[in-house]
Amino acid sequence: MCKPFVVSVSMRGIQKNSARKGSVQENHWDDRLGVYTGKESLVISKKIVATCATVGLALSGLAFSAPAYAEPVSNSYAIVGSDTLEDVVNALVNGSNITGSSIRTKVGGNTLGSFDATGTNYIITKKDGIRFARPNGSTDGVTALSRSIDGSPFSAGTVLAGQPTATVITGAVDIARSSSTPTAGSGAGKINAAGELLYVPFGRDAIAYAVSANSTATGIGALTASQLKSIFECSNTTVGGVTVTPVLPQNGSGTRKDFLSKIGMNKDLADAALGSCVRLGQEHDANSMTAPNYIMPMSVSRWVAMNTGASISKINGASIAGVASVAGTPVSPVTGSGTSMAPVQAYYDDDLWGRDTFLVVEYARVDSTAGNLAYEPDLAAALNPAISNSLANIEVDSNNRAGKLKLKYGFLAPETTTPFRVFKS
Amino acid sequence: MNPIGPSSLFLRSIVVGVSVGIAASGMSFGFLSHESASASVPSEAVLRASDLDMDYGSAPMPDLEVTVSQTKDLTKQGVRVSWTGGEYPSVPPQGGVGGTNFLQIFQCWGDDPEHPGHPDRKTCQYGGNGGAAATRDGYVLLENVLPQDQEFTVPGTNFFTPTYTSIPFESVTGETVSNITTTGGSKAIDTTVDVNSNRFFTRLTTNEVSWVGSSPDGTGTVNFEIQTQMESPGLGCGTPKTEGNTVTGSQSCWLVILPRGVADNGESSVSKSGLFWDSWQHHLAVKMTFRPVGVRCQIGGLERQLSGSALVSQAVSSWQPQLCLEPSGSAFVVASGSEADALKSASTTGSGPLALTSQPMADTASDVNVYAPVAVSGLAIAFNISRRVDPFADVPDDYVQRETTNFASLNLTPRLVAKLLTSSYRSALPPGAKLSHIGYISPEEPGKNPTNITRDPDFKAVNDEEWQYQDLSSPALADALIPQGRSDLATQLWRYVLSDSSAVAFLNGEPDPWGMVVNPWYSTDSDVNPSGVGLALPRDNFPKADPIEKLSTASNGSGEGAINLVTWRPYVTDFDTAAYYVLRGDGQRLGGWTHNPPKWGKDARDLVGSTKVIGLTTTAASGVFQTVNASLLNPAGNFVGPTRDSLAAAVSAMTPTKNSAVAEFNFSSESAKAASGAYPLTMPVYAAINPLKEDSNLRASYASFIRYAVQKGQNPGTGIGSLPEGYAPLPASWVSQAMAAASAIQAGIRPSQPQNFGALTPYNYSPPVGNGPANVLPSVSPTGDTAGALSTEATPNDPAIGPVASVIPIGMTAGALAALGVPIYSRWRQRDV
Repeated sequence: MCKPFVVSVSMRGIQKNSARKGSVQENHWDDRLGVYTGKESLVISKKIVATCATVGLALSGLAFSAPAYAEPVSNSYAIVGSDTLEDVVNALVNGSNITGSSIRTKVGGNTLGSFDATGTNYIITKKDGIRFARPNGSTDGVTALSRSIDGSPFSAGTVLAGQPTATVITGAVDIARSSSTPTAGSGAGKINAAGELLYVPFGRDAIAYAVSANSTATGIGALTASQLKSIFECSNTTVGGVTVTPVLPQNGSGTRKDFLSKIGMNKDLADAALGSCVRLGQEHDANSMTAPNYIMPMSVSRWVAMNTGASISKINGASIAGVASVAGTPVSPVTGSGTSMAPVQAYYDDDLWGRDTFLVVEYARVDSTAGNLAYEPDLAAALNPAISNSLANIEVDSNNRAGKLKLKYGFLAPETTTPFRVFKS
Repeated sequence: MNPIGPSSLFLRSIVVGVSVGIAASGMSFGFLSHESASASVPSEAVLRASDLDMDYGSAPMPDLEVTVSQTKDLTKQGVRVSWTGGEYPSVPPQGGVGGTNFLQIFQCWGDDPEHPGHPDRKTCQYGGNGGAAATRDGYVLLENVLPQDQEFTVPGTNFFTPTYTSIPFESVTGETVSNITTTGGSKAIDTTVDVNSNRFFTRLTTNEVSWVGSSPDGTGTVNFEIQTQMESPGLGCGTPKTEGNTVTGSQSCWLVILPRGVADNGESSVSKSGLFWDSWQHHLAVKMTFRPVGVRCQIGGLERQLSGSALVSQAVSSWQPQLCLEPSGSAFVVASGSEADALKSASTTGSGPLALTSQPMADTASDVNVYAPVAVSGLAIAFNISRRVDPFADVPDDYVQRETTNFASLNLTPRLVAKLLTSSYRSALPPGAKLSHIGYISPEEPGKNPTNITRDPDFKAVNDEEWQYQDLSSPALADALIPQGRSDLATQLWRYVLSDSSAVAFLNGEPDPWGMVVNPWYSTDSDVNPSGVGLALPRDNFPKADPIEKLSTASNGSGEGAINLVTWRPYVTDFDTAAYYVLRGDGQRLGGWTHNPPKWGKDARDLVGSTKVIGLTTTAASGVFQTVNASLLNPAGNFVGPTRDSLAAAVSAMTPTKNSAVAEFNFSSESAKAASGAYPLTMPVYAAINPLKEDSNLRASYASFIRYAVQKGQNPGTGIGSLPEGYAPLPASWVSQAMAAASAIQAGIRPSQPQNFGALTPYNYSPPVGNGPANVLPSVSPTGDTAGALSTEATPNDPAIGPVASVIPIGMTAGALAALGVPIYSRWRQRDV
């Protein structure tokens, strides 16, 4: 959710009932969203406040860093999780005309709330809701959704100073952003036909790595997967004779998991089992690389969005490099530069380096089987790709499609087109 | 197909109960037919895609030709699967993609009635590992569902409920695990059933290989773990088939090799189940026959106990069915434990069991036992290490081409063994803890102790040049998997280390020529050792002496628990288990921290192609699990691996211990220094007992055991009653000594001094011709179940009589409980960690 300029207290008074359970609107499968103009007067002042930050950024490309804010609460569904997806989902739920056409995802005329992976230590997602630890990353997001479903206490994967822990957050989270693909199997977090969660394909991203500003090591921008493995295992600490320092995102980051898995390491490696040369940083924030000759995993979509101005820049003078198949021969995951930067389709298509990203929801709430009392047509509509401005839309043929907006944020159409069920974690 | 139907629960109960008894204690009884007693010849099988593919025109690897090293007389063991004609490049699994150009290998039990000569995919143990392209089920697009799969498919209803296909599992016991229900013609998913993790198999029990790739030349090799009814009751391989009280055969099974290409039907990658017809039709399969499980001796026959050395369990398992047919024959129960404790117990005139030992009693003067040599075996340092060339180095093309294939040889010196046993490599200690005692300060000042053995210049100096181009990282390469408990085997290994002056200096605290120092907590020098007391060596165990701890950060429901040396590098149960883990590529690495309950998990085993593990085991266990073993520097200055020849060469060079009836390979003896082909960790095993034991029937039984062991039991082979792989036959003079000892024991006479019944003369032995790599024991199938695998060894705190007092009753109890609990038997197998 964009950083608002008003305190939440002033907003609560104008919000509708936030936790929308069940069907309020007479929606059905083919509903197009955003047509319920009759409700606008109820929410218009909040909309103006809520969209201001994103719109301002989109128009000016202005980058600013913000101190701690109070954030608004959602007046329908709340979205948390992956850093990779936060800006593009913010744009969809807060509204954006970056495609040249205004696009905003709404359910039954109500807006949604998407909460960043970082910011204040805690969030309150809904009216009269409980204060709980801000989920930082895909794993945290899916965990929070799981705890929202089952009512067990929630703590962040990495607990920050002063952060609430073991909070019961029933109903506080409706959708999780995930940049990580689960594996099939049995047990928590595995793809399984009996899973409580449904992973809905969102868009295709790719994994590359960022190289810090003023790096001097020859060949640092053309490392192979095997070379990256050696560097992140600390068995090789120099490139071209210069010491290279690997930075890994925080535990709980989907990009961390994907990167480790793709270079042939254990994706669930505990911080305690990491080599001592590895430093920890915040994912997709090049400020985590505090000196030249640092490298860190980077989502290409995030990189594109930070360059085009769609997202706040955390570039810090760094550059991006695709993972090379031949050492010393650079592979670029992006074309163009600045506002005209775009993803390279071939890099995204690669089985190894491309990755699908997902929005995760409780299956029972989108399962329209007759007799399922938990079914919520609004939530299903928000994730129905057939609807032009839904979160799951992947069409790029027109400026008023959510898929076109995702393209501006560096996301291509996902390779996986069918949703799948996963056990809650 | 099912010899014992579900209606015969009582009969099945007996069989399972017996089987568990065997696993827990090495006990054997049951039935025996003459047919199953006949020794068979191991059979290699060659499978070609051109002969076996059901739709060869679309074969993903048309030139695939697979060789399976053994398909008959199987038991719980390893078999070697090698192939040519694989496609390249092989890409490992990644996220939602199962990989590219790889093989999947698994076991099935039933025939497909519609396709004679092929296994039925519903009877395959497949899906337990999980992961993309490795489950029994998956979401698919309806238009991609082939007719053969429609029966198992629930069509989708809308975007959120896509089409789903799931291949059920049918167990040999007649039960079906299916998560698709049909009500009034419409199908639905039953979410209470998990086809991939169920009472018959889970990720912790399955033996399937979900991904194994080929080298650039299209070849590859993998050791596959064969499971019997014991390990996989749903497959029931080796379950005895009976007519009346006679065993007429056993349940056969299939070994399936499934080639996977570049994309599944209608997909852009290989991501769907290999059991879906599109992939399944390309399988290659061979039928395997098994030794009947749990069929040994007559129920109600006499039962005698043996206790001590872990070196003999495989041989006793093989001999057992014949032993009970001998005069005074009995069922023999082996309890592996401390040899010293076993000797003490055998010395009494009461009913203490026959001891199996490699060392005589420490106090020679009060030693009343008679010693009869019964076996020649040894320690083995097994390894399973895949190549991964240093991506930053200029590596010769030959070596690059071999990436992901396994090393076939590895040399160790006493000093390198010392380094593996003393947690002196950096990765053997938990990262994040203070490591300054081994010289590590920071990444910039790492000190001179390498991270693991493969990066040690000491290691590189004595090994093939190819090792210098590798970049291998794993805690499981920084030490060896070592068993808990006391044993003569540990003593002998420490003696081997101490036989080398450079190793002694290293243990004292002197840096090696490259500056590496011993972990001071293991130093034999009291001035170096921070405890103020030097480590006493040799000793009969492997201490985890470093009290290092990475402190807990757990508080308030977050953070992670503490990690000490045993958390980081746990012990394994026994020597047999170490070989099993080496076969599976399971380095026992620390996994992730879970908050609820707060505990450290265990990491998954390594994928084939990236395995990294070293383990301390016995040559016999190594033979069963087909592990590749290190060559050790012998006193003559040669690196020699364990083979029948090298064990025999070591026996020829053995000299008497302080008790002239017991021989040993004395590293400092002149004969050892002259034995150029001797494997230095060769160890004899002696049966020892006080011949004045009061029970004459007991003495007769033990005499019978010794006679069988040294005569009929010395024929190398795979059949029941023969000498399994991992043992060398006894020299004639030792046989004479054993026969005389048997006579004395049977008669209850203490022989006059000296006890040495035969001269230790060299003997000539011509082993069968082996085709395997030099360090692999001759490629002959092992016989017998791994009787000792699940035995508990005594811990230092156990009472002296530990193995006898505790292991046997526990083994018996396990059998009895299983016999009562067959319907829920598999629930006792570990399902999750």
